[in-house]
Amino acid sequence: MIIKHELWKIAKMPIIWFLLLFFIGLNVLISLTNTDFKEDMAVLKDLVRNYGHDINVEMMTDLGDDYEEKVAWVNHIAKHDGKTYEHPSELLDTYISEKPFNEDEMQKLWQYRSIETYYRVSQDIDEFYQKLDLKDSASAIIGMYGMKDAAADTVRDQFQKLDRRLEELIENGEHKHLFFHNKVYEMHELLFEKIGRALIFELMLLFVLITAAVTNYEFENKTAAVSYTAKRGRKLALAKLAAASIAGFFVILVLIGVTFTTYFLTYDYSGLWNVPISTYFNAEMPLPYITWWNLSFLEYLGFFVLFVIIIQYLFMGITFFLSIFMKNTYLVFFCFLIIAGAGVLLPEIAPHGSNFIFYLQYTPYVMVMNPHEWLMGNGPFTIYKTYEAVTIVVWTLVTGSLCALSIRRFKRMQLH
Amino acid sequence: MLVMNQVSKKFGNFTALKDVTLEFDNGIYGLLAPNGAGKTTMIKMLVTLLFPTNGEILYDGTDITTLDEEYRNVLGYLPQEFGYYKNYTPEKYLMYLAALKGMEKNTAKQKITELLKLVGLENVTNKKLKKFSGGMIQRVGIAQAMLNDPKILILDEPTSGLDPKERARFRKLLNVLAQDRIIILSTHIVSDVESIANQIIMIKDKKVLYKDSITNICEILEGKIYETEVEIANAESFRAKYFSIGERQERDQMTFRFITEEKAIDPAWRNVRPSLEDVFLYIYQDDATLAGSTV
Ligand SMILES: Nc1ncnc2c1ncn2[C@@H]1O[C@H](COP(=O)(O)OP(=O)(O)OP(=O)(O)O)[C@@H](O)[C@H]1O
Ligand SMILES: [Mg+2]
Repeated sequence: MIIKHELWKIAKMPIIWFLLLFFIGLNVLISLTNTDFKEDMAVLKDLVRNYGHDINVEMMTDLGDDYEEKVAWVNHIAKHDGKTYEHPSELLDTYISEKPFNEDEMQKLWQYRSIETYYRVSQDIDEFYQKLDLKDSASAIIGMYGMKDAAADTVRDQFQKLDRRLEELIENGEHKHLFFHNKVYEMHELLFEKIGRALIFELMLLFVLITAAVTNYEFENKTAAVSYTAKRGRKLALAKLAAASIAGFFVILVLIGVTFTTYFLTYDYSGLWNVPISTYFNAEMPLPYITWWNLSFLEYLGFFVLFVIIIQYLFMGITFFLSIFMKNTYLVFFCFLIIAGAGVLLPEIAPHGSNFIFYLQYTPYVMVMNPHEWLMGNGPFTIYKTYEAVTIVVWTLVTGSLCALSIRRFKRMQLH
Repeated sequence: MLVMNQVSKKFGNFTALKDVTLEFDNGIYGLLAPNGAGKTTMIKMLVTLLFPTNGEILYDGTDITTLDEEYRNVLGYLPQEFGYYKNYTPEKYLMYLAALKGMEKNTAKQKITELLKLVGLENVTNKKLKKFSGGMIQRVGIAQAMLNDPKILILDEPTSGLDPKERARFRKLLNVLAQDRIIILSTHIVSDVESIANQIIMIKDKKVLYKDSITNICEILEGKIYETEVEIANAESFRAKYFSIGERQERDQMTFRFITEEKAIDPAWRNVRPSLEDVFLYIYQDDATLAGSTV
């Protein structure tokens, strides 16, 4: 009953609707940045339909036979120049400027070139992983960040653990699955880093705004003296928190819903949902993505959404705590930004010699900076297997206690 | 019965109220004191917005913080600065407050219609509050305080901003309500409480100076209030000699109302009956908080 009233107060804030619409527009724009690759990516869909995404001997033989036919066709249309081409790309490279082929042939050539990439990269995967030495990665990172002593030991230690996981990953064959060739398309980066980070920051803004505005509402409208002396009294703060939670969930639903709907309608993931996220094709950097667990794309997406939701509610809790004591939305906003800034900057300026630098990573503020590396051993400072779990559990406890404390303190607070 | 027992309130090092002990039974209590005397502070403690630094406030023998909801359920309060949601209609705002007071929706609706009529706002129930005049807002505040038919009605300067007609209507209303409840209203306007309060509470130097009926309080000055005419030329020296509490000019003469301990020395002095205002001015004549303020 009261919650409904408090929800109305939130719903009647034009700024929230304005921001929501603005963010939806922004995310749609970001989502559409890779549409140039759409036709190219469609080739993968056919491949997966015909051969499955699992790269094994049988599949490679079938794909190989098919590929031979395609190469034969390439040589057929190229017969006039007397050379033999082993791959479509060779022909394309030779005639890059002349374009002696008709429209249909060109289109087919490009298509075959994509197939070539998938076929030839698939052939090279085993060799790549044989050569992949995580000790080198560790050294590179240690050098890059100028780490010393205990910190350097930790990185080496963690990469050793990651190496064991890599062995397991190879044994499972998680790395050998067809997926968007992301060294080119960078779809993982687009979805989880660009869109993901945008979503997180947009939602954070909305969550802080909603929570602070509704919690401070009575003080900012000078109605506190009346509202908090009614029968319900200071318990009203709880109703406000509940209203903020409901409104927040609605905002998440709308923003993530619209963004992901746009994204997945634009890029066709059919047949790819169950591909392990650690597959070689997903790699965008020299070091491929290595999750600590065997997770499919869909599972990874699920964890992403789950973490985003949990983290937003952590932000809500922190905002609520600040609001109870500050009673002013601008002030709360300002303080929240300072805390967030400190959370991100402290690890940057901390000395890279001790393990302290790793402890500073265990905050939601650092965690939201690299959503595309969650549950993975790819972030040099957040490489720990339990990084996400520990961060979430610890901060849920901390934030929960802060909320409980502020509600209790509020009951005995002098309201001048 | 509402009891304040040895209640003190400090803001940091500053003591606003000290050792206040008061008892409230059904009836109207006028809390009469100048600006900054501590009226609002006392009221805020009575409505659980502030908590005493020392002492306790009991309702029917139980501490009001222990009673919690049970206490606030019988409480109606109009703060000195009554805030409201600008974009709400009075009806909607009162519906919200009714919900906070735990009232059932239909009961609330009925009560709101009734109250808005009582305070003369029945024609503007659907107008947004931001379009209301100060006096109209004040009347919404009064209606709001009475929503839950409170056993304890506490009003902090309820008549500020009301025109004489509304003041009169308000006084009449309180008289009807006072039958079976405690009404405490603070004011520094003597005429507001003069005709309706059963008891007057005066605070001076952070303490309760008087808690008595108007008649008894006025007795303090019995035989000490006079009126006399003085030539304008002599007005200045008269003022210096006596404590004047009222002056009126009539052609070349001034009529003074003044206080003196001396027995009528001058046959021209007319002994008059002291009023509450006389007492107020007498008591707070050397009060620093009064300096510079018009009463
Ligand atoms: N929150 C506060 N912090 C510090 N001092 C305060 C606070 N509230 C009130 N005071 C001080 O306590 C004293 C009593 O203030 P209070 O508001 O109770 O007076 P009042 O009798 O209601 O005056 P008025 O007639 O102007 O409303 C004043 O000196 C005031 O400055
Ligand atoms: Mg006051």
